Amino acid sequence: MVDEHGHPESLLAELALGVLAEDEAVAVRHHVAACLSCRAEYEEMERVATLLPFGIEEAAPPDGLRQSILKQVASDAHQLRSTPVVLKRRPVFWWAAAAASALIVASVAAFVGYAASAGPDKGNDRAEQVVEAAARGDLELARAADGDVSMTFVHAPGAREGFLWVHDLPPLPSGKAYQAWFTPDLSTFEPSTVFTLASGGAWLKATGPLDGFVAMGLTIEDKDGADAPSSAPFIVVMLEGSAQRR
Amino acid sequence: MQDFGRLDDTELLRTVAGGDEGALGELYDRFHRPCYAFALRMLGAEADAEEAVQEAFVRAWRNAHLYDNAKAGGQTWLISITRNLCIDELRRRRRRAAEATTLDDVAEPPDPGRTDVEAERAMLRTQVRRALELLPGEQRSAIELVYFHGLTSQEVGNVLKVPAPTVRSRLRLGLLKLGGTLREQGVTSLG
Repeated sequence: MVDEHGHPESLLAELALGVLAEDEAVAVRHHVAACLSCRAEYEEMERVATLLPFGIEEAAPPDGLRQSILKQVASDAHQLRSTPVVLKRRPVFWWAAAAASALIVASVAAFVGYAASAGPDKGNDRAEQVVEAAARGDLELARAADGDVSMTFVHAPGAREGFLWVHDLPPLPSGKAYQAWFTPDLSTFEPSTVFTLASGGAWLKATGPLDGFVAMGLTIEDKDGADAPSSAPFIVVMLEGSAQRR
Repeated sequence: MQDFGRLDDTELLRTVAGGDEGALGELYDRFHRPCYAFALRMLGAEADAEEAVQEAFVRAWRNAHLYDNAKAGGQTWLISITRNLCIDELRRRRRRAAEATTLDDVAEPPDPGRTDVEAERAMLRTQVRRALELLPGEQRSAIELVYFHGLTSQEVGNVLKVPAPTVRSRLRLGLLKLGGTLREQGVTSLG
């Protein structure tokens, strides 16, 4: 998809219009960030894309919609309100509040495309499990975000491993690493994978089926990992399927 | 009671992020018409558009703290949320027959009580539509199918019976030409 000079010119329009598959979009965004000519063209396309909706004649929805929206937000204001999820040295009960505020999104197809093709695990059993679950429509997917920091976690029902995609995690001090933790009850924590990529993907393992956990969070620990989290997680995602089954 | 109408979009979204339901009401009053028109344009059915707009404003309520005015204006941000929801819906029902409306089908008579902001929107609407009309038909079709229907280049190629690289070329040339035309008309960015 790149020209003879290595520029992904032909993909810039799809990126600007928001329909490029996530795995390709990641690569193109990296190129755009480093290439002045592609960045200029992309920014122009992105500018035009933001103007396209303005070409539509406005239309008014039914009168009751405003009231319906306000009623909905009033009813879930105490349960679903998102709050920033970057926390330091807060007590363990924070897991509950953060988990409740985590976002669940439904962009399964795009993410599975990435999960299935990611790195050296391509084609192995766990990736196949994820893809098969997506095909059946019962893939568990959860996402949390705070500003530029975000993470998306997918796993197949019954699986003990899931795929985590993170973006722009906070910088690591020397000798430190990110560590994932699963919690079945918001008070006890099972250590999982230790990794150092601030943006990228990693498989997270648990000792039992992931459906049995309520939430997963990340902390910064020594590079060899820890047996218990040394602080509250800086980002948490609620594992929705587990919560529903409880 | 706070006069939310005096807040600019960024201040308003900050207030929404603080949990003020009155601010959400003002946000709705400010942007529900373009969001609804956009959803109607993409989904073609009033009930589906209404549902998408409701979900979009609920998501805006939950995620207002993520809003970054350096990346997008308030209207663009809300339309972006609406569009993502519409694309999800379109992809769910891709195999069902859907009656898409055209740009002109959703037009309604102008509101005699429109404000200056609405007048500015109307002017911008005219400029964008005129610029779109100036595009070669194949470029306009490609942009419309990708942007308003959420199709990929490969899928557009299947529809138009041309190779995907041809579609990508049409998208690129179309967007750049559109940008040039809008710039000539003095449209450089959004307020």
